[in-house]
Amino acid sequence: MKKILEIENLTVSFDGFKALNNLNFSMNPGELRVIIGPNGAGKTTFLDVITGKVQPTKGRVLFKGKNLKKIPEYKIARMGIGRKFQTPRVYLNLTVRENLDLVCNHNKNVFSTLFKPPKSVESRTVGGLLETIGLEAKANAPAELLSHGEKQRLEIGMLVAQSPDLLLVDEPAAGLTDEETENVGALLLSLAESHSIIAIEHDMEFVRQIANNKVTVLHQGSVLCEGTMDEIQNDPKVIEVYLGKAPSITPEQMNILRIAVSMAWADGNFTPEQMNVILSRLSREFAIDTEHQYSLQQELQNYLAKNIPLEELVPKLKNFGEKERVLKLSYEIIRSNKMNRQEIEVYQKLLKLLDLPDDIVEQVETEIEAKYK
Amino acid sequence: MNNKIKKQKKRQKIIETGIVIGLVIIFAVILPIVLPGFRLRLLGRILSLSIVALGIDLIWGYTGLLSLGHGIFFALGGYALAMHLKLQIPEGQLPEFFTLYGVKELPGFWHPFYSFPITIVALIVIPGIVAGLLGYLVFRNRIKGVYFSIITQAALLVFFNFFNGQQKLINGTNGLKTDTETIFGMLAGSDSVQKIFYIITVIILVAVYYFCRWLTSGRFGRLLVAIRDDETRVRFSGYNPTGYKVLVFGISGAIAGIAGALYTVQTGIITPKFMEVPFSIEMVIWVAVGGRATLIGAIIGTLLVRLAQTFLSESLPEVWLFFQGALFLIVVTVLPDGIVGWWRTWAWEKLSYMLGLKERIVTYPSLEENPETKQEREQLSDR
Amino acid sequence: MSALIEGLFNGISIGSVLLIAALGLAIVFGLMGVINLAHGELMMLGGYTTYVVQNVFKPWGEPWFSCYILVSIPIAFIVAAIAGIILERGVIRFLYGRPLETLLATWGVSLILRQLVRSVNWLLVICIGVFCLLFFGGMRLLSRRPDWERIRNLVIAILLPMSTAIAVVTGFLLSQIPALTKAWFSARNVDVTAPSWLRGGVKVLSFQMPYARLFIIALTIICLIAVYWFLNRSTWGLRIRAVTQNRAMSSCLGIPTAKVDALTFAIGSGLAGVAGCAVSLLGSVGPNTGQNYIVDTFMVVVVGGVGNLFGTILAALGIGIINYLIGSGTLALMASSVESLKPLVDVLLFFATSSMAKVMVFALIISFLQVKPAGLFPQKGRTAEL
Repeated sequence: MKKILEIENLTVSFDGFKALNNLNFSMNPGELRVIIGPNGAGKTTFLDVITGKVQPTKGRVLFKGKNLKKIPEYKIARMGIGRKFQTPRVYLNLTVRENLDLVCNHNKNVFSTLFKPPKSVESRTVGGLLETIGLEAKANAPAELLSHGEKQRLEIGMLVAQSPDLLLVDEPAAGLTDEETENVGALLLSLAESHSIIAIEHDMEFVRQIANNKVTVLHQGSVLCEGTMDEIQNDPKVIEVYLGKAPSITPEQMNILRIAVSMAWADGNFTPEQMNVILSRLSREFAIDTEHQYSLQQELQNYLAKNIPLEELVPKLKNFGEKERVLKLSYEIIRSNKMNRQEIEVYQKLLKLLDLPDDIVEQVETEIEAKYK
Repeated sequence: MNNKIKKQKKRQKIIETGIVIGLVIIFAVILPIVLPGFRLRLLGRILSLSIVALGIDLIWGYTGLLSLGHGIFFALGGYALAMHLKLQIPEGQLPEFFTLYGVKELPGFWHPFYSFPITIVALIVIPGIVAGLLGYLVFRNRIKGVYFSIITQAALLVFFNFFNGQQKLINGTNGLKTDTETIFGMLAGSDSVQKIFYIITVIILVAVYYFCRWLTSGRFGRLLVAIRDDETRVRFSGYNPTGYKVLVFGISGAIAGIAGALYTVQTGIITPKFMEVPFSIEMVIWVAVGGRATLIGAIIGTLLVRLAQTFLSESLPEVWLFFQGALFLIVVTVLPDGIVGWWRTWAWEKLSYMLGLKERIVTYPSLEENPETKQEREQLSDR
Repeated sequence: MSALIEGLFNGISIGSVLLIAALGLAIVFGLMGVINLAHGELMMLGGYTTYVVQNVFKPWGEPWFSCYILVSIPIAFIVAAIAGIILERGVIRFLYGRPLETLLATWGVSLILRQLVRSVNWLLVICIGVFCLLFFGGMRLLSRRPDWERIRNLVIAILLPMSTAIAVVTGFLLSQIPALTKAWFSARNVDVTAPSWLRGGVKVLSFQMPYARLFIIALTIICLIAVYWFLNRSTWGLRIRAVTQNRAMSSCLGIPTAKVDALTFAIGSGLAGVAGCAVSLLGSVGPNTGQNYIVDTFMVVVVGGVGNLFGTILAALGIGIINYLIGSGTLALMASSVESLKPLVDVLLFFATSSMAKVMVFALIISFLQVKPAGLFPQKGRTAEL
């Protein structure tokens, strides 16, 4: 398959400061790629180079196989790259409809804009878009009267109106309420069905919502690692960059933590009691002394990630002791609040995967039941 | 709902056309009869200045480019027509000033101006091209904002110096006198010809006004506003702002050229003084007083400021500069939207409450005027 | 050869006048993004101050008279700086973030200043004094009231016409006294006579280096060093540089940005005053003195780039030298010795007057901007343009 975007050995330096350093990147058509990275990792410069705002010092950017060097921004936009800025940038003195209509224009030459009346196809597209972004009622209001979230949606709408092949989205969730964030996420996911998207994001919760494929981590101007969300979250390099140090627990211990977490997520609801059980129990078990126990509890909190299928995790358990420990922990987690059917189902699955002798299971269960009586 | 809006729009259009026709009748038919010759000339000059103001409104009000050098294009238009008038002499003779400097042969660039049609085309096209070229050289490098203003001002000074220094080409400081020349066999300074010039000015003003309306009402006009609001966004949407800016600056220059030609024949002379720095900045203040991005404001502003200038500098010449300076300060700080903007956003609202044309807002504008809330309310009352 | 040295010297001397005039403008523009169209009028104020100081020193005779120029420099600085502070506090601070409007407002100020020096007399000063006393005094008194915010607009609406009316009436009553209505400077230009030690010149090779021009060059260098020292070595200079780079952040760190603005503007204006003092040695001073320099100094700022002193120096000297070499015909003379450059010589001769040289220099500047749109030393990085 032909790559939609390829970046080879890209370096951008401002007066000797390398904002991007020998970066290599590629993505397939139809992919939704999330790019994360700490501040100053070069995320926005990365977008600047793709859109032609900044020229590469070294290396090249290929869009659909075509080198973008020295092509002005507007031509790159016409080739099919649309960009959403960090803060919403819409035309404040135009109405919502006019905003969309301007971008929708198929022929953006000076004279055709001046002399040709808008096509009916275009006005229909605008109507459809207004519906998609949910701003029909405000179609004739000037954009300066819109709220921040509405402006974000309008800008995404404008991006779609441009009908690009590749969408570049810079922190779409910045400054939005939880509900708005979710709306924007859903909008992006639905757009991903027909477009290739690169999204830059800080909000990890939001990243988990939209990252259905690969995630790329930038650090100091180059790609630190690439992979699925779970791979990224377990990658010691990433954790080090984000948290400033490597995790102090072993991979085996991490594995146990993950299984416990997926038990807690079994009914799709992670209650505080469950979190408490996980954190206090595990930190007590992994810690050397009380002080360490406390710091560990803080640290573990960072790894409470979403659901990874049990089938992947359980086979990694090495010995009988670990399995027993997992069983104890899991049962306590589901027992810590009222058990429901989904939890029991997942628990049954876990039992089958663990493949422990029945008497041991029974012994553990009665032990914990006794504690909760 | 849509029908209602359409009907309303149609009615508005009829009213507007009526007003325009009425004004044209007043200005083009009644005033020439009522006013004495020299007052009419004055009014004609002011009206031709309001044509430049329309051009400035296009680039400043709509596109957000503040040009301080419109005097260049204004004077170029004026020179083009004045050269044609200077050539209304028997074949083989030279305009008399050439003999003062010992020039024996007509400089080459004068020749096209023998023909009237070419002159008319030239007085529109030359300023337009000069403006477009200057604009292209500046805009392609994304020089904007204050830098653009300063560069246009420098260009103005340069043109001033150039015209001032070239006695042998265009009579330098002394300029070209048109009053004593003939046009189509009639003396350009005579009352009857001046009256014709006046009426032409009114007609062209209306034509230019409608031309600007057409430019700014469609997608093109909205793109100009978009460039003013956020040029980077325009670029990333696939438009090349340079082309649009060059075109609109060129159009604005061409409009200034037409205005300059009309102003010249009604003043009776053109000199490099038309390209002095203060005059070009004054043009901007006319637009600011009337209200930016309103077109009609440009005309109103020019009329008001120029009339005030005429009366003040006739009676109290010392005060005029103080007054003008204060005008700059006041318009910028207190009345940034100009008279028309103030009328639309503030005075008209108040007045329509008083006359009962509009319901007074009792709670919050967001509650009473928000379309979403309105829609909800309508749905509820339908039930 | 000597022609070239003479050309260079004269060019540098023109350039140093440009530089001293552009210095203040560049600092203000770098910090606040504001172009001050009244900068030329502040120079003019400096020139008039020099004239006044000269007249004060005249009756004292020698040797006092010889050093009036040294006294007038700091006084010109202070006068212009005060005017600058009034301008900044009174007008410009309301217009931050609207550079084009600032441009227009400062033009209004420049018009007022120009007419002011023409018609200023004791009567006008008294009227303005009466007005300020009534209006601002009244505002100050009433602003102590607890309901000030509510009655503010009303107070302005009443006080403004009232104090204006009283001032005008006072003016009419006092206008009977002829001593009060005599204009201080009138519309004619006034002349500053250089002290004897600045007349004449030193002979180098075959041409004269006038002392006045050498003095201006020295003055420019001193100003440059002072500005450099101030910006790079003093606490307030550090603050100014901080605000230039990131206004919001500086404000968060507790730097009083409003004070920094006022101070910068005062220094920029003060430098204009010094420049006016220098200019008064070269020719007569009149209401339109400032206008002769203003556009050239703008060009210096455009070519030099924002926020870099070195760029301003280079641009000023470059423009000054090129201007002189073309305008005096030195270049044409030099090129004429080579036969193959004949067409070039014709072109150069066409531009060999001081006003036509400006045409050529402008063309050169425009072509320079095609290569370097943001000036000699543009700001770099992601935030540079947006």
